[in-house]
Amino acid sequence: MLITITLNHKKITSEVSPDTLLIDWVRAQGCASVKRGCETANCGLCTVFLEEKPVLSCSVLAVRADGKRVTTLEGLQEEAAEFGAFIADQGAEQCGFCNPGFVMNALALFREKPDPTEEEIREYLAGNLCRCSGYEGQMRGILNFLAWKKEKKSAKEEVR
Amino acid sequence: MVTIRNYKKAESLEEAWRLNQQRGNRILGGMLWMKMGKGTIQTAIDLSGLGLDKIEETPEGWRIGCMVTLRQLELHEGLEKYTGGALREALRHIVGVQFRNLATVGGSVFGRFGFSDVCTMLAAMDSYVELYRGMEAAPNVEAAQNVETAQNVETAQHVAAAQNVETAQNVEAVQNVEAAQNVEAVQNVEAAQNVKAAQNMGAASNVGMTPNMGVVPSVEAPQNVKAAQRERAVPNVGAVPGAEVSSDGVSVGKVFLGGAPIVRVPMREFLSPGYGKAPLSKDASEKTAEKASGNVAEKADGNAAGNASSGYDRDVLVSVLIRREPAAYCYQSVRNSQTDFPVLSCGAAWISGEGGHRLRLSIGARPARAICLESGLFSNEMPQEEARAFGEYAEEHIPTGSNLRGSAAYRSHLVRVLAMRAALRLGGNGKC
Repeated sequence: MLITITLNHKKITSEVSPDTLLIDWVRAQGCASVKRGCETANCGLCTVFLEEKPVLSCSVLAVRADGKRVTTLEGLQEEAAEFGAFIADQGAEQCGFCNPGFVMNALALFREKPDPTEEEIREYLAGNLCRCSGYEGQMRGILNFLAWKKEKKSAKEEVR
Repeated sequence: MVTIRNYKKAESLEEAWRLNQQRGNRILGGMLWMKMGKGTIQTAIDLSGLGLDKIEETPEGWRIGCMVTLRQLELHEGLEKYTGGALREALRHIVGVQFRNLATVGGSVFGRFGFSDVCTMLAAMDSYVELYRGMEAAPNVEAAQNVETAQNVETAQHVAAAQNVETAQNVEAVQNVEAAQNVEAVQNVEAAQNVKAAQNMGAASNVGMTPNMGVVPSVEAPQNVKAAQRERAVPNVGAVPGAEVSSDGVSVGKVFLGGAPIVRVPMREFLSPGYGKAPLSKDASEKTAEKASGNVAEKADGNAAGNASSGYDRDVLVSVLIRREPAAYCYQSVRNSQTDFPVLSCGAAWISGEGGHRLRLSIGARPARAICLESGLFSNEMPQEEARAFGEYAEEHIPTGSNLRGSAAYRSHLVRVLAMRAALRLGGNGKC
């Protein structure tokens, strides 16, 4: 079947079979940040944005994304680098395998809730499993990032 | 992963329904559970182009399209307010945001999974499924049976009505001494039936039971037993073409929605194991169930995923209707770890009516699918000792089973604790 997906702002038309999964399709387009972790729709490693909403690409048929926008970490490099630095500062990425999916969903959280509470962070990111860290490092990294953003914002307002 | 040979985005409900009458074709929900299966789907039918992804407020409540995601439902302000946060509580522990952005209401309800928090919560509410041309031409049902069924329309109407009898009617009926005297005997019958049901498939029927706690028992139980008996005689109950029953403003049976022929079935009836089982397809569905139990995940969760070939399986679930009722809700679940399937789930409604309140309890992940229990009348407040007695009653009467996540004994203990907490939270002074 012929489908057209706007992947990371670029329109791509390709031939897929009816049961091609979105994860396999985006990886075939060179988006290797999207990982297959659990195969049971539980781990969050394969998170991509489908029309700006975070979804598990391991459970979406590529044909269902026809005519839609798909964004992977490759399309969010600046945003991801900015936030990722705070995670790295805490040594929270460790083996790094869960990191792309985690960063994607964290960015989705910041878009939906720019100033989340710790409880809201835990709830939003509950579907991103990490078997190295115990999540404490990630939480510190997120809180530091949010504090830094707030500071940056208020500094900007002062300049004005 | 399943193999899909063809994919079709349906352009109308009629097209989807026609495609779905063919064995080997299946309707896609969010595909989260379906994807994990094996086997081949001839044509995967996608309903996502039909505008069924909306939650619409109606005079009677809310109509939730089958393609509405669990996340949409979770974030819906009107339903959040109406349920006092109970609906959100039922949804927010399901895996993660990315999962709930895909999983659909239609897929969750139609799957009738034992572990489903969605089904457990909806069963605690006054909710209905709306099926396009429901059961109209289910395969394996011969014309002769349809004639017989049609002759039983009146009976079917009584059954549907009986299952929707409202508090006021119960109160009146309870004054009938004979009915009250029958309650105990009927409870025994119910319990026995449930044990049998639990043993078969691990799925038990919707029961209305009456704790004997010094309050006037409702006659819900006797009516449900009659309904259960009739259900065996009339397998297509609630979905009989032509049946139209009005019960307090909501018609059940055949209705028209925007010109489309729809059969509306109460949620608790839809979740009961007797629903939709055409006699000729029974053997087939049992065989499928046996086959499906070979799948570790399905077996572990004791759900009825094997009902693939029962008559109702060819229906198209268009929407779920939540009807407003004068009730307060709460939802609790126990999980071994965050985001896992629940070990036990518990939805509850505290329904205000003439002369007092009733408590409707829905227990899911037993591990079989949700089962309901309704109390008799309580005065305005639920004293601690009555809440305790209600918990004990629930523990005694709600069948549980064992799987990887917990033993039957542990689950029964949880039934007691969660039922008591629900009673205190909704009817008491808030202290648990």
